[in-house]
Amino acid sequence: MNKKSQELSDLFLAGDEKQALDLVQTYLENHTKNELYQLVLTPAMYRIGELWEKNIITVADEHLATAICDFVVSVTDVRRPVKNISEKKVMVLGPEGEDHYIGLKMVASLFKENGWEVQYLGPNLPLDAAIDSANRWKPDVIALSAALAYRLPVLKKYAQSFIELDFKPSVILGGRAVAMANWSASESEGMIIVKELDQLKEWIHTGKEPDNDFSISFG
Amino acid sequence: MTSVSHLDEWPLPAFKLNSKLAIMERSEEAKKLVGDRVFFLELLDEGSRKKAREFLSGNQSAGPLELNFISLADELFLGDVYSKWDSDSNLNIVLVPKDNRLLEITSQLLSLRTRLQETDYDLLLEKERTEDLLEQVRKLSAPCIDLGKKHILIPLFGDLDPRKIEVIRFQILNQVYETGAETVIMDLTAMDQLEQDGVDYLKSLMQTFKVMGIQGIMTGMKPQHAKQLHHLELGLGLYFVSSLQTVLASRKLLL
Repeated sequence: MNKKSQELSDLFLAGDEKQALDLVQTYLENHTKNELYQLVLTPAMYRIGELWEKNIITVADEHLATAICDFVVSVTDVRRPVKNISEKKVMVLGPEGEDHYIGLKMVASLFKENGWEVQYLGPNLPLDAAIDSANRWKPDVIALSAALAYRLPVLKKYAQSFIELDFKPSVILGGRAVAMANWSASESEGMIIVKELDQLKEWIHTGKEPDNDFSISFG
Repeated sequence: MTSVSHLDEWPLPAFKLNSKLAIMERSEEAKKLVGDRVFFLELLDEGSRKKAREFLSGNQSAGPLELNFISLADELFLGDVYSKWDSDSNLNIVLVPKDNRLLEITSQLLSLRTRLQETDYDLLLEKERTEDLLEQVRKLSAPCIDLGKKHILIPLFGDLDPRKIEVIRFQILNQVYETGAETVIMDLTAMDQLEQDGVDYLKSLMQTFKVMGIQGIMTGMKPQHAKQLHHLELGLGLYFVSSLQTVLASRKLLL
């Protein structure tokens, strides 16, 4: 936990969107958005989850912090069409029951920045609706994430359904739960596991799957 | 001991747990809300179990402890748990379900904010579109009409402002050069306001004509234009003629 993340999570919890945005924009003067997402925002939000587990803050505090973080991510998001359009399409979503969505937004933003067309479906999406959407829009990639470990079985069920679609989209799994889990090679067959945004960026640029050491737990 | 009836009359869901967090007794309210599972942790959403185990097993009787419960109807709800160990090593618990309205309001605020942001963005796009259109209008408001016999007619539309002249200048000069025109007639009949800056630009355009050996003729002047334009005449070889028809007739351009 670096000082910036800690400071930022305190601002999120205080509901101070102005200062939070100030801090983020100052940071962006010398850093990339990827660094912002991975090194500052993600740890800041993880810390907020931990504070709830330690009974220091309430769910209401978490919601406020999430809203402020959402605001910051939205403001820094690319709003103009980028020049090098890749003509690829990605669908971003969270499975049913999963309400954590800041990670999804960051992923959507990263794809957009690289010229992808993004359909952001948000968290808590029933599988039927997701399949429907995918069949209509036929994205090249479907990216989904889960924050809580016990959501992994649902996540895998979704991923399996997407892999079986006729048009064979690539399926990317991410999020805190995915980063902390141990994935055996057979378990993640046909899926791309990204443990952090850097790996996703690498994949977008090179198409190479991250070389995760499956025997090491990041927990 | 009539401890069962003890808890039954409690107005809030209440539990008595043993040291393994198994439920020994529960109130009527507790049964109604979360049913009759054996272990307290089974009443909780998985994400709350670790937190509950840590805090309840410890000997601290601080409260409230916020946890997510699963109701009999299989819905998640948030509640504050107050707990205290008694002298028989039993843990007494009172559950206070939280009103979800606060969270609903938070998410409503969030969706309002999202809408505002989208509107903001739409406005920005609309502004850019309007600027493009305006540029287009400026370009179109000075068409070059080739009248033959090395004459070009440029009727000006709208207001005369610097930005308009800047936009049309290049176009006019190109056209004049390509057609090899020797006379340019600028007709101000459809011109509304003349800005002082615009007049200055017009003057410099006329000067350029002169350098290119082209005669400039202004027609269709209105009384309010005359006042602003009279200083343009100075040494520019400009001719003012009251109507376009007079010019065309005198140069035998009318059939």
